[in-house]
Amino acid sequence: MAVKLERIVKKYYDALEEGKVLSRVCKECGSTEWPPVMACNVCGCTDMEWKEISGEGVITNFVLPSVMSLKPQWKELEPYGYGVVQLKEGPEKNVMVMGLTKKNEKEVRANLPYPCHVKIVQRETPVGKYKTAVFELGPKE
Amino acid sequence: MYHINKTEIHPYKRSVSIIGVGCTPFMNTIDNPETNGLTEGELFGYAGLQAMEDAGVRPKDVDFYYHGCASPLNGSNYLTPNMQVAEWVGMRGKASIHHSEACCTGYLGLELAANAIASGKYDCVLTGAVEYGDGLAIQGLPSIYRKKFSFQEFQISTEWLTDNAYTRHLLCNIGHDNSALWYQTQYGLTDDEIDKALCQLAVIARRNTVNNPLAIIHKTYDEDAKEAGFDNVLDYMQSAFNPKVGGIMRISGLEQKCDGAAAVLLCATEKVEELTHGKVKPIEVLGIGCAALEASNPYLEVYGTMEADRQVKARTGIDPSEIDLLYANDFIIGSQLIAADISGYIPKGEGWKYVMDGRTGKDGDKPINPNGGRTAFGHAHAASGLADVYDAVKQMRGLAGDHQVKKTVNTTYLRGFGGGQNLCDIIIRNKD
Repeated sequence: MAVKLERIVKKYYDALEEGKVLSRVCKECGSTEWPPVMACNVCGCTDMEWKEISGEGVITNFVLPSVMSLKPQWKELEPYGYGVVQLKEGPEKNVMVMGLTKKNEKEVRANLPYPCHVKIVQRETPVGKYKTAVFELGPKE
Repeated sequence: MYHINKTEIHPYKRSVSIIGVGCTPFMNTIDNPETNGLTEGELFGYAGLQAMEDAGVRPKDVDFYYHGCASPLNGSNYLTPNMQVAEWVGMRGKASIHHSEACCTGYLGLELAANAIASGKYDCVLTGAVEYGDGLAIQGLPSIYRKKFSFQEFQISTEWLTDNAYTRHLLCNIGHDNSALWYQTQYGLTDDEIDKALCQLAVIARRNTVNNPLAIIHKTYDEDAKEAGFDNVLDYMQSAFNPKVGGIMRISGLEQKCDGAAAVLLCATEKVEELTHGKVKPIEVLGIGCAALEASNPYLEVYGTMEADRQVKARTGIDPSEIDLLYANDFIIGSQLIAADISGYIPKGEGWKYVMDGRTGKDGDKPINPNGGRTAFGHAHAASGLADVYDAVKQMRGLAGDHQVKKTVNTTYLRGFGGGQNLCDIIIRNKD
């Protein structure tokens, strides 16, 4: 049996602490699952291998936060917007994109898909801290 | 577009029909001395027993019931909430199952009941849902005592809808704007055009509920605008009186969360005559298509609706021209545009123009949500889908009263949505 009970989520967060953003790639059809999960959502195969993502992506659409969607607990990450991002490896997700502002909104929208790159940020909450991956406007340096 | 797995649905083993409906007023129970103190059992019991009365049957005739509640622990301090209301519908000892799919719960309650009958296991099944979306139970006190559920607390609780391994920590909050953003991009609307269309949807929703006794709101935005000194209601809607709460959406486009319950009684079509002594004209469930996409997936409402629509159309063979009436669970009001577009109820890309021309109101030729939908009828989360089925049945019988649509309704399409996120597209039709 190929399926294994393993701590996939913990491995992902542990890697973030080391500055790496991991995915899992299907050995059968080559599809990438990011964030990593147990089975391929394209072909269903459970034979997956771990791989660090390139960190490169494009924003295909976005909105800027307003009253209800501007989160005080994310203040240190401002300015940011909410983007639809496609990774170079294929996956598309709703994610935070740092650096989106009212000032550059027009320019970014006129040039969609606009380059962005993954950024590991530290989250401090009243109950603990951890690192997570968001995105930042502009190409990867 | 990312890959979505597809399902082919098969014909029911036997025909299933709706024979009775019940619904409480959608309300903030603790704000009114006459409703303050109402409990889950009373709301579920009223809706369930009303559905049975409507069909002319007694609880002993009902084989099984489904119970829906979106947030039973938070709203009612309940686990296994189906058991907490069991004796309020006169069905002591009969089996039941609780299910919970947030805002899609009611629609999926119909799916569960239809499947249970179509399989041949049960002949008559009640599906009901109750939600306290405004008055929360207080731990340690009887359920007649409740406390207000603030909007801020509600916002925090909606985080529970998303995956806690990854999605919450992608720090994205695009949900309220995702579908409107897709629609605007797909059809090239300007910022002002999409804003006006969403505002107009809210204006129409409130006009629809003025004389609907079950709705939570009975005052139009036209009246609000006049009181604020505006001659044109859309000028009012696009002013600071109606602030933007997302990148696109204004406060008028957001649900009115509240308390309420609704229920629908279903029966094997071949048994309707025997069970109701020929007094009920059944409404057949032609088919139900379903899909689900987790909240981190872009445009999940759009793509999930497409898949659910594909399933139900393939199963029923229904052409969009046959759809007389559309319901869309619109706790985000732009959902009306998505459901109308994908179901084909309104030609692709034309929905916003139909809205601006007033054609989707209850008096229009393409009515959507004549009951007012989630922004005006109210949103008692789990119960809302069954409240829409309640209204659809009343419309199809020609018994919707002051909000009866002008056209004859034989075939209704209901697009359920919610629960981080489920999609459920239902087609029902007057039998013969």
